[in-house]
Amino acid sequence: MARLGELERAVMEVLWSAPDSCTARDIVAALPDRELAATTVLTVLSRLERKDLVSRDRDSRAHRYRPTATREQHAATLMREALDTAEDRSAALASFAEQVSPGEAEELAASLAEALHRRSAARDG
Amino acid sequence: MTLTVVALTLLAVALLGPVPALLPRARWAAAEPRATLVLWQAVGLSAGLAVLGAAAALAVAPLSDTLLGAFRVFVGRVAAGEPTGGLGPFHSTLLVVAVVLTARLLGVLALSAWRTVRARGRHRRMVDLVGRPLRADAGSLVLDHPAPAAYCLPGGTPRVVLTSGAVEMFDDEELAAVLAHERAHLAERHDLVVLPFAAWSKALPWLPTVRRSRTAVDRLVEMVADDRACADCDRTVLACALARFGAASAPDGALAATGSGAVLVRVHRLLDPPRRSARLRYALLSAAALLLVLPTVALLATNL
Repeated sequence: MARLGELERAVMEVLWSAPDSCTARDIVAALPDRELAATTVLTVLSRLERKDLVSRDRDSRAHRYRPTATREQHAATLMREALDTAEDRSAALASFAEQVSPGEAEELAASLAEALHRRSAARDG
Repeated sequence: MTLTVVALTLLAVALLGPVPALLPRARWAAAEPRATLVLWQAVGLSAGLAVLGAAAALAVAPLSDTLLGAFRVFVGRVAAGEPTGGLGPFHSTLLVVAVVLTARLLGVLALSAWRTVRARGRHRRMVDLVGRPLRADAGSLVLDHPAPAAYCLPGGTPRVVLTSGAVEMFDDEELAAVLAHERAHLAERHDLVVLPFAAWSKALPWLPTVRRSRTAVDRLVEMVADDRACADCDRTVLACALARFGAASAPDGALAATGSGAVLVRVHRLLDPPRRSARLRYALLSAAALLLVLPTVALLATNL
């Protein structure tokens, strides 16, 4: 199971870095060290499709696959989910994520200066 | 018996009203956050015990002299085919209310726990796929996103996640401090501490006291993690990291400035730590124990 997750990751990496959609064979070629069979890649791709991470172009004969969203878009979604304070923050415990008012931000800048000063004093002292 | 019920009701009112209103203002909480957390948990549990216990005791009072005796009689009668166990309409209604309320509270907790575990699993699988391992610490993951943030995913397969924005912002020492803080949350199992407060604040939104407790607990949990992280890093370094993060957090234009001041409080606390006090710790833990023992003893020992 862990290996399959790792394969999913590798396949997604290929799809994300590819300039356009890929066939299963393109992916096999892109991961020469793994010596994958096309059927293995197809299994992984169908799993990723079910998870809505990958979509298939159906107009060509050889099925071409592309990611449904860029890595950055996924990252943004995950971030929003993790830091959503409207929810009961179920998934994550976020401590470097809190909303800060402009007044507080100013005071924090002052505190930062103080803290940095102490740090260098401790280093030099 | 009436005395017990009245006392328990007063206890419940105190624990659901003035105590959660005043406790967050206590300055000494910052000196012993872990013990204060225990006290909060005891306050919640004791309030529940007082309310539900008093209601149940009142409901079955006609059946016997003691609470346990009354329950035995009730169960015996119900088993023998008397659905109300010989209780009149007022008492049966009260019992039903008590049972339903208890079931609801426990049900909400269980549902919340289940949902949390599932959401977390989903999130973790995505993060494992989308994130890259951090160079400084292969166990942590980095999400490509310009806004600085750091969080952890507690549970069976824990993860620490940072954004690339955060990694760029902090220097090596600060990054290590941030990681230490997140790992402290995981080690202390703060997800379990926060869960009941989160679950019940959602289930009882009309009770402002529960929301207040949740906010207080969230703050204390951060302090505990700060303290624990400082075993592995310098307090000033963590203060720098936190201050840097806060100062850089540009508030979303539309949601102008809803900051609670909590980050500033934490930074000040790291720079000027309050003195620990074993005496305070013992006082808080004793108070917590007392809050749980008193209603229990009152319910079991009292003569109905």
